[in-house]
Amino acid sequence: MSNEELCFHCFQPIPRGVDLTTTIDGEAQPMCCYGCQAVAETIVEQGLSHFYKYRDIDGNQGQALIPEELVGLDEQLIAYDDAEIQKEFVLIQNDTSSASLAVEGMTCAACAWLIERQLTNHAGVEKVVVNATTDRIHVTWKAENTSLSSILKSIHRVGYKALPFQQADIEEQYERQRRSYIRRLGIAGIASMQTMMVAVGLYFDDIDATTRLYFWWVSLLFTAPVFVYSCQPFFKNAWRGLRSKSLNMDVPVSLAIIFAFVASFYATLTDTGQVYYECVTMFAFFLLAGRYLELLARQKAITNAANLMKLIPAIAEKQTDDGWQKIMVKHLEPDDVIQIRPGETIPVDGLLLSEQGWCDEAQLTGESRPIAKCSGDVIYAGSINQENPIRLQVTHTHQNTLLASIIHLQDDALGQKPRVVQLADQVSKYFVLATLIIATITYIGWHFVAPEKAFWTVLAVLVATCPCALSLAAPTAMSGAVSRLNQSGILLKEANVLAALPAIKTLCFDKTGTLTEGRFSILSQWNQCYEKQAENEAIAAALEFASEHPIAQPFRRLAKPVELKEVTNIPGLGVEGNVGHANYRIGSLDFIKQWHPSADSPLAQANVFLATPDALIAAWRVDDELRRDAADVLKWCHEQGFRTVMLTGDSQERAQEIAGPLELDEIHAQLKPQDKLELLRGFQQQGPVLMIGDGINDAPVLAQADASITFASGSDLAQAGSDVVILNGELIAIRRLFNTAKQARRVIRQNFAWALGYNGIILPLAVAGFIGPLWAMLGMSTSSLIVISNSLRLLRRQNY
Amino acid sequence: MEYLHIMVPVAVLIVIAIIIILFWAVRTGQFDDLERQGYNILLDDEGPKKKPTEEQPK
Repeated sequence: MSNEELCFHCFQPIPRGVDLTTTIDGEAQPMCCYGCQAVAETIVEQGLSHFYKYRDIDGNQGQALIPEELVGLDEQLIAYDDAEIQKEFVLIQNDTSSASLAVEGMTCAACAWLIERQLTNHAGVEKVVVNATTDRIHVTWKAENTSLSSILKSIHRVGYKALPFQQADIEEQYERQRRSYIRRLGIAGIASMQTMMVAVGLYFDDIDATTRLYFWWVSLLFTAPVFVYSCQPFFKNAWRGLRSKSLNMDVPVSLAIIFAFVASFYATLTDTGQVYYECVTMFAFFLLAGRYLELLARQKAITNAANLMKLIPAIAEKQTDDGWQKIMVKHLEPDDVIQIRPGETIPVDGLLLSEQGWCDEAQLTGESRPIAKCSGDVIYAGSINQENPIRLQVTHTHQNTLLASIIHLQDDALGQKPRVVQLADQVSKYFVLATLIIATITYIGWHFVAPEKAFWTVLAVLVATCPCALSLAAPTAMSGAVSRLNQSGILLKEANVLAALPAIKTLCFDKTGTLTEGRFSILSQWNQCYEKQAENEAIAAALEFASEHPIAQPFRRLAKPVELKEVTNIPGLGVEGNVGHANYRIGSLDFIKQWHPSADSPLAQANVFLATPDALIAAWRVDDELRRDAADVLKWCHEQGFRTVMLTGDSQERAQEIAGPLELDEIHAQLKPQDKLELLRGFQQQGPVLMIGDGINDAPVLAQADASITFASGSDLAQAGSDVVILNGELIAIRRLFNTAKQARRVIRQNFAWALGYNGIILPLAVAGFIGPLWAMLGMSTSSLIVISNSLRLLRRQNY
Repeated sequence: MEYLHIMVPVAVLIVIAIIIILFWAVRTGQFDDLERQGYNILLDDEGPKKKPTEEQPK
């Protein structure tokens, strides 16, 4: 395993003795196995070899495509009351039902508040949790008092479209929103170029009256679509905010746009006064650009969260009178008998009918070794069948499985997740109120001094103080940071996490799959004759090729297998076979003891043994290996003064084994998902917590933590609950994440300082009437450009 | 100033054409993936042409 050379195709180390190559672009490149070689050869054959030239090595974890399920979405709302349909997304407990719904048109926390209020007042609704970041509603209701369709209608009435969540559904909504933003942005951009061009002509005083009026009408022609079409989102949000009796940033924005347009329109009609069409178009363009950046970051999040759907396989093989038949998992009933092939994920909870089976429950419990199951044992949905096809008797259908209860624990935790108070939201709330009050006072003041100037001064105040730079300050810095992290293989599902990170005090790690690799590798070995090591490895590789057991995996990569005859696989024990004329056995100590009753393990904690009928010839310790960079990361954590904690479902002894050399501050073992959640909530009392984990059992804690990180190789559920997904499998990414977060915070503060400083200077000038709306607009645009340029500094790649 | 009376309407027509093109581009998904498509020019450069991937429905 010390071989330095890596497979050209998959970047895995090349096993000793393997000498495979593929000729790519005229050069022989090393390959680690026949699989990689076949793939690489196909790529070359198809003439696609420049794939290797251009592929992105940092983030090469390709997203699997999920076939969209065909669902008739045009059904009337009443259709959602059908029990058969509700079975798909509604969980019924006692006499209450609950479901997650996707909302369209939710842009801010105020929207979430509005829906929450509306539904709380709805008779029969027990509990509503609206999540503004995922744009989802989790609603619990009493089926006897109300129906789902009336809840949906009720949400509809406050101006939002809510539908039961289907994977493709919300992604499509985002796609529609994104496309409409591009259209609005495009029109605003084109129109602002045209109006600015015309405006330059209007700046010259020697323009004659007819041409001036002609230019005004031309500008109006270009501005009207921007006002009517591009600015719609601002008007809608402002209106929603006002109806929920709260002020959002869109209120002064809408006021400024409406004032400027109406006044210019009036001036054009009557041929008097001034026009400010270019203010309207530029203003709309800058604001839409900021919104679009925000939308993109959120859309990325949704794509990842939607992966949750592939967790439970939709089809199962059910035993019927006509043999095994494939049916939809959702149509399985308790007491049905189903069959699961090796490597498949178990779809429902059930009792094992086969004599014996091996299940990998690492995702559910954190236990890193496969569990032996005997006839009659409970098998949990979400675990993976390791060996031989097994038969199950269904006990719980999928909404009531252990897995489903973990999912609900996660959803609950997500609702209770501490909200990161965005600096921008906080600042802008007071800022908006102050602006409106100052504008009103300015108008009243000027009304007494010079009534004819009052309107234009107020307009200048509104435009000059527009929170444009303020509203761009955070989103631009965030998207800069998010985009650079993405380039280095760190996917942020939630840009907010960057705001949460600098405050983190405690780091919680899961064990299996987080601090360790989550798969078996050979840690140490013993050979009866040292010279025969290579030979023994080749025999072991050959024998283990016959086994489906996960512990056999590392042996297959150990060496080039020798020729083998008469192989027998004895599930649960090992493999027997002939090499040449010699007979060999590989497997557990029990298996070897059948030949050598007095055999004793020659190597501490060895668990795989190779023997001939004459003697025990080799032993290996195969276990879950510590991640390469785990020690470095922990060292860095301690340097930074973080408190480091391990939360694992595995045994105390095994936790100690891993945590000891890493010098973690605290170790908590044998935890159920619920226990982990309670411990983490305890830590949160003392300060914000970062959780790093990958299993299904970590999903609730990941959702609850102030910030959470998972791996692309982890469970889908963990990915759904985490803020950050590390694509390249490097734990050291944590360090980069923290550094970038600190940098982003610095840039945001600089932006705020600039935007507020600028407004502080321009506001008194505008109130005093020294600044016309045109100069106000130019100042506002310059201010925005400075903020954007400052944020773009974050895009520069840096080495840590 | 006579030429302005011709050139400006021409500019308006051009803008309308640009907007129609923009809407068409958005509708047919030209903005769906701005990163990956950029690589096509490099990847499709040599070797046999692959069939274009399926159009986005709608």
